[in-house]
Amino acid sequence: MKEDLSPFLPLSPATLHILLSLAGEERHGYGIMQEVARQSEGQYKLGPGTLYDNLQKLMDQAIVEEAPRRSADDDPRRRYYRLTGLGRRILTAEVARLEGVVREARIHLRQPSPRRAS
Amino acid sequence: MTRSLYRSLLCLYPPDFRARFTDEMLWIYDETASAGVIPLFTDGFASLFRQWAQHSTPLAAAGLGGALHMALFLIMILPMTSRVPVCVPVRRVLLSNISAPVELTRLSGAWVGALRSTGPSGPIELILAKRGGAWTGKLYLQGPDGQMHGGPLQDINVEGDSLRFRIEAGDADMIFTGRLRQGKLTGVLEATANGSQVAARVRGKKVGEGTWQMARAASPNAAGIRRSP
Repeated sequence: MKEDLSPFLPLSPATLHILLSLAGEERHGYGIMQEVARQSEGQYKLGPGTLYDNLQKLMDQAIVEEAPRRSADDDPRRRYYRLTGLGRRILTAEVARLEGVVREARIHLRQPSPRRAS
Repeated sequence: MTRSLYRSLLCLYPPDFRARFTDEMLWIYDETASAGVIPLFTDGFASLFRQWAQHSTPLAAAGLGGALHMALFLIMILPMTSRVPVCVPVRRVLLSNISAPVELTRLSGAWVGALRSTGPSGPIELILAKRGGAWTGKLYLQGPDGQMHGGPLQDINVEGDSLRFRIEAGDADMIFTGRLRQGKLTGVLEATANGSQVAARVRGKKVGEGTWQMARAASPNAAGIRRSP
């Protein structure tokens, strides 16, 4: 049976960026902020408040989970986060949805609507 | 100064969020503040509003109002304080600016953790404050009845991030020596009796020794264990 992910979609820009930043590897909070800035070429900057608002929600929904510490020497304030299986499926579904949006946009932008006759 | 303000802002978040993310947010602040603090505060206030708005009950609404009031008040009074406040002493900061001078340091506040020793072992809570240049505090240990029993700290000595204090437990003294490292207080305990250290033996009987570790607590009695009256 196909999983219904529609209640999670569409993702907010912050959520989308956070999930994208975690798609490749687990990261700590500051690492997520840096990766979001890199992926968006500095156009989308996530503050710590917005980041943890979203991480709290995503963890409560089991979309993101905390990963084990990398080493005992790591700064104890630094916690790592990663996508769960559900999180990865939601991100995949969102990317597919966005691809549809982009496809539609390209079609319409190539074919300007005819001007009304005056 | 701005770090103190940001830390105070974090203290206004709902307790569950604070307990989960405050340390990380402060760490990010430390990493990014050099690039400008205004976006951090703007983001912090917006996030604070969202957090309280999520708790959409009349009580939460009251909490939001109170938090924003306190935020404004802190912004007005914190320039009068020189050191970093922590969440637990926010009330203390407010009160202290009205009554007695309080020096806020990296060690002041509430700490919870665990003690492992040849004597008592279990949850441990430390409350530390500095007033008028003198340290005061109380240590709570879990007794056999399961409740937390508190005793005043004596001979408190703080040098930088190092801490040493004594509490009396029956006819023995318990001397705690520790240090703040990476946000955690860790140290050793040596019980003494009749002035002799028990790391050696006293009257042929070892009284106790151990280790302890504590992290900053979001509030006093954060462990929620009942305290002995």
